[in-house]
Amino acid sequence: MSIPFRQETFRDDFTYRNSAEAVRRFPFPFPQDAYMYSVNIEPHVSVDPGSVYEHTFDIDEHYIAECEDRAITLGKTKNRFLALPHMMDAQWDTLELLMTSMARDYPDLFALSRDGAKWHWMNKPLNIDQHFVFGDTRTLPYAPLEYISRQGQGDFILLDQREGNLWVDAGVVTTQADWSLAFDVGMSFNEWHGPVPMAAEIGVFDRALKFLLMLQHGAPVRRLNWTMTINPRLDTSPEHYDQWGPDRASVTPENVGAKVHLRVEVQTLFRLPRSNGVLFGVRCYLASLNDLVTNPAWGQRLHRVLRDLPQPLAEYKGLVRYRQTAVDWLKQFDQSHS
Amino acid sequence: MSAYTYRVRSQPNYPSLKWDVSGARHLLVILDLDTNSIAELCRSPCPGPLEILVRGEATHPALIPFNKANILIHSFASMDTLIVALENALDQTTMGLRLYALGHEDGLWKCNKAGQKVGMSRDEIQLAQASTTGRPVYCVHCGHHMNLIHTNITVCTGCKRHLLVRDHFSRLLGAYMGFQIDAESPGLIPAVEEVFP
Repeated sequence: MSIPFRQETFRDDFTYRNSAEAVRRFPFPFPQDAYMYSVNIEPHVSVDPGSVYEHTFDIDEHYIAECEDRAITLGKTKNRFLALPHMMDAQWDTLELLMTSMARDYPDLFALSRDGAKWHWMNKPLNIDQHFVFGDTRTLPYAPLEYISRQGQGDFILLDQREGNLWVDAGVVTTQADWSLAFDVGMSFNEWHGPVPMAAEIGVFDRALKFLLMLQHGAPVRRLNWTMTINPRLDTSPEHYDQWGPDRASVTPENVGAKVHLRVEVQTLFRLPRSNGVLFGVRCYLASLNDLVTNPAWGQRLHRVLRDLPQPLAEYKGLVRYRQTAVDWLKQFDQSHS
Repeated sequence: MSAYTYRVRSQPNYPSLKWDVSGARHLLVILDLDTNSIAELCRSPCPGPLEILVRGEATHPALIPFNKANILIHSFASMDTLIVALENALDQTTMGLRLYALGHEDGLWKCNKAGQKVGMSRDEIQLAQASTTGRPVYCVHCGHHMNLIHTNITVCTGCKRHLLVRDHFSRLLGAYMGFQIDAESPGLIPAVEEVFP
């Protein structure tokens, strides 16, 4: 199985596109015609060959372009990789988990050989051939978490577990839906989710935290989250809000199908063996409304979800400026709408 | 981004100070002399040896409740010298100390940071806001820190953007997030109001 990697951009000229196959396997997040928060956590096990859930860390046609975009963001802005000093074990845990998973799941793309602490990593798509000593940071060009995150799709956040809580104590965050690692680093689970409306009131975070504190090594879990983004932009960080904020005012009935993207996060959580920390992977998938309506069931459902979304959620997700334009356009794909 | 339409749970609550009877020794930092808060705290006697660091005159009337022979009061003219003295005091301390801080928010979180640096846990440190609700603000665009911001919108002294002061608070930075209010519609700045007196 070889993946036809695309040459594309997630900024400036936005040449990002999905192939028909990428649309087919897009993780459409709505199991019903209305959306509300829930603790929608399920075991992260391999299901549906070819789907985004087949492998521990999904590698797709956007792999090389996403790694290139991450390198640009890390090079341009400070503090997109941060790790508090006590997180070094968790960094190595993460590097090990990604390398072993990627080499196992995509043997034609990645290879790892280990002789005690002497490791040899090969990443063919990115032309990387790295000998290093596991546990010795001097043998890698970046800190372990940054090193492996530069070769992965999606953000990687490391949570420390202590005092009956999970703490956001490290991460590489360049494909985020409007939250700042530089600001949030060091926060507890509830502080980190502080700005999310409505969910705390129905007990979502308390239950999720309780569940995650019990997470077992070897039994990862996953959930979906979503928002919308104008243009296929990965770096919608608060730091650069001045760059992507104006895009929200650029949506018209003529361009809505191409400009407005559903942004779905496949969030995965792994207990880490040495540090007892938790790796929180946030993998972002983008599909334009034009992409989505090629599936009639999705077009119909998205119309209803967006139309009926509670206003506080629409505000929090930043949809207010263009929601009506999107709903009006999607209506044509919902023939049985009332 | 939005602000103020619902409560943000990272925003600190500041209950009033209360002596912690599980402590063996007590260190009180008074950043702003607030007569009422001090009187309330002193309604019950401190349960162990007490040392006080105060910004301002040790002879201030608000400190009268502490006029006892066995209480050490150290007076400092500035925040900076006080925080340095606090760090030195904490460096020499052992288990069983309880830290209390009273005053404006920026100073409270500087005290908290000093306590955490020597390994004190959240329940060994009490913070109580007094004298002003003026906010410390971190500009999410340029990383600049500002203090004692009293208005909903402020101009960043680092990058000159107009920032909306959110309720989202970082204990590590000791600051609220500020983000550009007119990013989606450049030049459209809502009315500036004093909301943190």
